[in-house]
Amino acid sequence: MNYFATLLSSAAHSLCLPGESAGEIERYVRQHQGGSVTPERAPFRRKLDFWAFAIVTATAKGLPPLDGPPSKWGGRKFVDTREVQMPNDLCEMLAVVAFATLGVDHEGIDDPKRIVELANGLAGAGTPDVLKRLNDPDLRITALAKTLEFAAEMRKALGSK
Amino acid sequence: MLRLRRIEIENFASFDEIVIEPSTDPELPLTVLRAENGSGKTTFLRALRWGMYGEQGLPGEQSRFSLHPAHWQPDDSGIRTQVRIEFETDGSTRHETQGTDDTTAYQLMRSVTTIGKPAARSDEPDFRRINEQTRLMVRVGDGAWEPHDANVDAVVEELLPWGLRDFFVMDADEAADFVGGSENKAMSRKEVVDKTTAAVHNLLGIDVFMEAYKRVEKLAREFEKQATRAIGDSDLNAVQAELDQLREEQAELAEKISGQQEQKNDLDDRLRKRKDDLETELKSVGAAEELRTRLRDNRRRTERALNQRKNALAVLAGEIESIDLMAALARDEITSAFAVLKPLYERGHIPLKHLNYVRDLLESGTCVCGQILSGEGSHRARVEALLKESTEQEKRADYLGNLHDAAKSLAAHAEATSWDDRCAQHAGDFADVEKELSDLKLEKRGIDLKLESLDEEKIQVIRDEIGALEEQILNLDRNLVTHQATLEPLPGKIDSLQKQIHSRQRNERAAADKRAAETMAELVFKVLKNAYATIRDEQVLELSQRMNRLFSQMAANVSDDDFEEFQRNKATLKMIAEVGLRHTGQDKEKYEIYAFNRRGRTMPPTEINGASRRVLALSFVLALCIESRTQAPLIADSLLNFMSGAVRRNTLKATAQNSSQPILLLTGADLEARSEVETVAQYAGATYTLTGQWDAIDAGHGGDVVHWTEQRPVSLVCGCGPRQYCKVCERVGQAGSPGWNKRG
Repeated sequence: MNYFATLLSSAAHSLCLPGESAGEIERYVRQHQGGSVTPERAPFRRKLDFWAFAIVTATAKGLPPLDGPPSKWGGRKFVDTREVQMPNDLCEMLAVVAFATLGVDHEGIDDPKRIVELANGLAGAGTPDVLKRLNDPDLRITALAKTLEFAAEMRKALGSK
Repeated sequence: MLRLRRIEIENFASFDEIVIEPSTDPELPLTVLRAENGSGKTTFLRALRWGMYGEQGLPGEQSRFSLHPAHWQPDDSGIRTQVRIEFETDGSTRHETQGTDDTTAYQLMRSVTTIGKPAARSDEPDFRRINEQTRLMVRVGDGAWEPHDANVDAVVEELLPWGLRDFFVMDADEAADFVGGSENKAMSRKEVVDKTTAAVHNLLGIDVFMEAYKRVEKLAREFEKQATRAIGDSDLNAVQAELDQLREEQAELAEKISGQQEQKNDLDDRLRKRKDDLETELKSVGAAEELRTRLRDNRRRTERALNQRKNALAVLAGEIESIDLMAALARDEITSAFAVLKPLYERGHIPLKHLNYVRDLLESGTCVCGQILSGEGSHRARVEALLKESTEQEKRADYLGNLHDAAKSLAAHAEATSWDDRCAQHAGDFADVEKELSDLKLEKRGIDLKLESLDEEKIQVIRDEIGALEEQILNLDRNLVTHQATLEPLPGKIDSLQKQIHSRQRNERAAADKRAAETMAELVFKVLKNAYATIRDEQVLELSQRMNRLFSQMAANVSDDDFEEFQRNKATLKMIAEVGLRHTGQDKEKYEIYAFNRRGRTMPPTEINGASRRVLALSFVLALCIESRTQAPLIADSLLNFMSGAVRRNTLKATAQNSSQPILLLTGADLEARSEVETVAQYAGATYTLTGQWDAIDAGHGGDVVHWTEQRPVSLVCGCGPRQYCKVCERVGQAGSPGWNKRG
């Protein structure tokens, strides 16, 4: 674990996603679909991966994080930072995003609770866009292809800015 | 001699009312009815057969055959169908040529009324036919028609017997059967032989000889009996009775043996066929093993490909978790963070690495400026205060230092372009595996289908059938041996008894007259029998040779002048080298058509192609007509099907040249080549075109007839010949095409 992973795992911070979309999200997460479902139908390995993708979707689209603690916007914990192995790169990115969002003078930029709260807010903001794309009724392509297409489009849009 | 003059058809299937007047010009004997598929050629042939032979002339289960018009409904009132055939004959029978120019015209009229009938099931006919009437009229001196008192069916039977219908009113598809049966075994070998034999006997007239010698033989036996009775000796009467009994027994046994021999031939045929089937099936079992090996290989490759697919998918899906993607999507935040942190880092504000150095110096009593710090000095106090203040900032500066490193590393990921390339590469790998799987699936389906079509149970069924057939043949053989053993001594016994009787008869005056008559009858019988055998063999040989010449002319483009040369070089032919007519095995009274390959081996009918079978059938009919001097119409449907090039050209020409009244039902495609058009122009005295009006474009059924002149499902006739069209028969593309003319 690197510095930021250790920091975020030093206490149990709840990772949250919109509670009202929990069922829909689980459809696209293999961990919740049993062994027979392939990545084509459930592109995300764990909810954590969906959560991370929702965060970067929000940043890529410039969506403001949902304000306040998850309870305020209907967020529901799916895991906490002690129960799951947080990838080093992801933890670094969450800290950097929090720094960029809160500003250098903000008191809470090195507060893991604040960083996770902000990440939850971004995940909550990005989730509807991700689900909208995944629920696209075009049956000719798989959910995995939709996700990758969506990611590639966002990358391209950012590159052309 | 029989010649058709006029055929009128009313309300028969697709015909409302059509009239065809075949050519009666000996110089231009050919009549052509051109029609595209489904325009009424076969219907015309059926109408003609029905007109001549009634219900038995209809195909299949006659009562189900709809000869009423297609537009008629069972709720409508009854509809009358009528066929009127006008013909002329010079009075010749098949065995006796009249040799006169005087002909008499007759009119054969057959009509029937179709009415609706309730049908409980959809596969039952909802109609029935009533009031069938036939009438024969004869033209009298003033040209008027008068009823003729002859029996209609007997007249038709005499002029064109039912047994010869396939030869003279010929659906070439069916006719091809009698050259040896078709692949689908529509006719058994016995049927084929019987039909061929009947045609030969009938047309060559050799049955007359046979009947004559049999009659004389019977007469001789009668005289013999009368001579014995005249003597009045009871012992001799007993010997005569024994002789009669033996003769009866001999005839019965000979008939039985002949029947059993025929039955055995048929069984042998079936056995041969089933053995061929078994061989084919056994080959397929070998193929099955190979297929199963391929299936196992397919399964193994499929499993491997499925694993590859799973891995490829996992790799592709893993790209969603890639930091390259995450960093790129959060690039704005990373860039702005790095922009703030970089100058702080560069200025040394983050992390505060110098604090430990200051602390070490302070402990050794030195300031970073080099001044010695006393234990209680104000400078030292100030340095300590500054150090304390900085220590409070150290944790945050360390954090920002780590953040700087992280932002720097993430910025590099954010700018990396390899994610798209990697995704494309993984997607390509995945697509390759998908393609491989799809190919494997197709391959499997193909193998499964082939395996399904193999039926190992069938092999057992065939083996059982072969066993049963072999047993039947064995039983028949036993019976034949028994019957032949019983028959063998009979001629000797008969001869001995006959001699005994004749010896007594010679010595008795009372029997002299009858004995003399018997001797004379015996003599005539022997002469007739020998004559019959000679005529039969010679005529059959001539017929066979004629067939071979005609076949060569039609199938191999050999003219009469080239025939001898062709015979010498026939080994160069790829397929049929010789055709003809021969006796079937031991029975000299039965005939079959044969075809030899260039090694002089009999070719099974299934090896002869469709065109050759038609040509073979036609050469038999034409040769029979020529050898028997039969002058009768030859009406043939689909004769040129399967033929092309020289074979088609020669067949058309040979038919026109060798039949006294050929009436050919042809498609447009049969008359596409210039040579066929020229043959028609050279030999045709009448040409007609039949057009199915439902095939019109403006009828909305997608056909290619240009004008929809009759808004009902009827077939119309016009007088257009090859390369001609009119308002009735014009099809798309004819107007303006080179060589096509509009008929006025």
